[in-house]
Amino acid sequence: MAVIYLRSSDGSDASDGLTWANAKATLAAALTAAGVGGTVYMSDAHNESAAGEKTFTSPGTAASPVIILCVDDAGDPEPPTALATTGVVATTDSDLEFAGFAYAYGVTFTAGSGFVFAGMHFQSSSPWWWRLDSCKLRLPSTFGGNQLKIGGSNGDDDKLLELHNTTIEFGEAGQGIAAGADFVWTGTASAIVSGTLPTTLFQAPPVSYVSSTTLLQGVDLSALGSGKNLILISGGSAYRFVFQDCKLGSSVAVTTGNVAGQGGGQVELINCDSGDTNYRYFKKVYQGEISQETTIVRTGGSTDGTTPISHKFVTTANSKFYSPLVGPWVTFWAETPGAFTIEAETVTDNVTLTDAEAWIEVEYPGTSGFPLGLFANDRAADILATPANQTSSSVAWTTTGLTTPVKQTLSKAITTAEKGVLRARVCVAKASTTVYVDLLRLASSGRQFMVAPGTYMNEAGSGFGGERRWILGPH
Amino acid sequence: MSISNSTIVEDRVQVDGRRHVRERHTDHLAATHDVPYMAEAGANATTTMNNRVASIEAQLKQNEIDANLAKALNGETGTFTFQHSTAGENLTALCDMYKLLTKWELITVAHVLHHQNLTNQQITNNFGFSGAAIQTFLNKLATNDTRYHDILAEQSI
Repeated sequence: MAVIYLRSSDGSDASDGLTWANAKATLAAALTAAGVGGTVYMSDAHNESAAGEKTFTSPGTAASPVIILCVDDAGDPEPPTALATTGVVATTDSDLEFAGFAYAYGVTFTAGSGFVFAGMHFQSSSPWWWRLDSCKLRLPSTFGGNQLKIGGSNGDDDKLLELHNTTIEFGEAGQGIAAGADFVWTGTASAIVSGTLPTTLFQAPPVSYVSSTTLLQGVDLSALGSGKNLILISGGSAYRFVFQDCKLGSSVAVTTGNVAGQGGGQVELINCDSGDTNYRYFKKVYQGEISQETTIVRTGGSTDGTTPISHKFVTTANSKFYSPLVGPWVTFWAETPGAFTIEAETVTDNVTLTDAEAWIEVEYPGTSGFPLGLFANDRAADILATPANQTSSSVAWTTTGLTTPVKQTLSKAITTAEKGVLRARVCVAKASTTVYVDLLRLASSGRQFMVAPGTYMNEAGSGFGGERRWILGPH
Repeated sequence: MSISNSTIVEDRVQVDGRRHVRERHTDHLAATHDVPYMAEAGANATTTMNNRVASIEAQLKQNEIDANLAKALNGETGTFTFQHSTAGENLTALCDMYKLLTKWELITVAHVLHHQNLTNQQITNNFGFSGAAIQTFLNKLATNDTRYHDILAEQSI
């Protein structure tokens, strides 16, 4: 483990790197010298460029990664006292390769220039982790095949790229990100640098990659607008994308392509929009799609306080009794154990749903002494049971555009054994059908939440300022 | 091998004036490819749809090539499909992948390439070999093909 100073203007890889006066000249040499758990201080004037491929294999481990910090070197402070964001590491005509375990702050990584094959690859057959904070990833080459690749063949567990406050720049519309290992991107304004924009941001990973999860949270993707696609759902892939609290471009398509199977790609977009909303939702799986709806809504139904909202379920031909299109969990806090009836209102255009085609599913604390959840639903008893129509409803809906609205109620009575969280969701198993679902599920509950996975603070029955509890969101 | 028809199957106004739009692109196999998005109030959905056709065709091609490459990694030689891509495009992709493989994957794909009966010109185009290097390369493919079958035999597969 060593503290290494890195400055291209006067450094030399022949130097020991232990002071600014004896700084290393290249990041690769600095990484090697730093060793397991070492630190590399990169001068804010560092500007390293090489013609050939550059490989940065951090000698760090999961427990002791190498720390790379771009710093203000004015006065050659040892150690430095201020971070900077102007260090540059570049190639002119080849790839940048990353492996090992490292954290980097304030570095601009540039792969290629002109028309050259020069991608940026975070990949290895061994475990790796890189977290880039306040960095820039640039692929300015005009060759369309260049990608930011995340992954690596041969057992892709224990591999993760994290970007925070880190932008990405592309040089040709065919370029994009190929996420074949886990990828987390958070807290980035103007995340896609304007100029040349990719037609499809997340592209199909190389075939030798395995499944992965991509999470974007608080990322401004508004540069990608009409005619652009955020995610290509590639055949046979098993990649899960979750976009949460992101800014989108106007008229951007979230997905293109078809999901190949039940275990194929999954996309969920939670509260991401180009406009000033807080309810936009989109889910795409093999069985269909779910999106928010603000015209066909139940009178007195769910709302964000201003705008009435329902969810529109559009099933594919692949939604079945044993593999339905499943809506998001809506979560309740039940303070007092007892009997509850959970309901969901639906409307279709001249489709009367049976209990084998649509139902409500409830998970509830029905076991004393343990947090073991119980499940209940109003579905037909089994796949061989004779279906019965779900209950007709007379609640009012705005049904603009529906020729023959058919309103029904999905309902299930349960009895909780302990206070805690109840969750309910609607399942639609009728193929190639559109069903509008009101999200307000439990008339006796004052507060309901559609929440993403995680830990949440929930106000109990007394409302804001009242008693509070921590709850765990569903996965 | 292209999108033969594109239509807007949904264009429905939301409360804020934006519209739920769903493009449906149908390919020459009658398979449909939907693209749903939220259009701005005055956006021309037809223009957007027409402009998207090229990227969907490119995606269909890449998907098929990827699927074929996955089969190659599994050692399959006779199950490739060429509905959205050409044999030449797949061969190029296969050769590109071969250059990056290691160990068992390399042996497996060498087995697949060996059974493609590559011409000298194809080897030159895809690997840059010429002259005697072509035969050397073919010999390596044959050697790895033998290894592939030997390994399977050892495993009684």
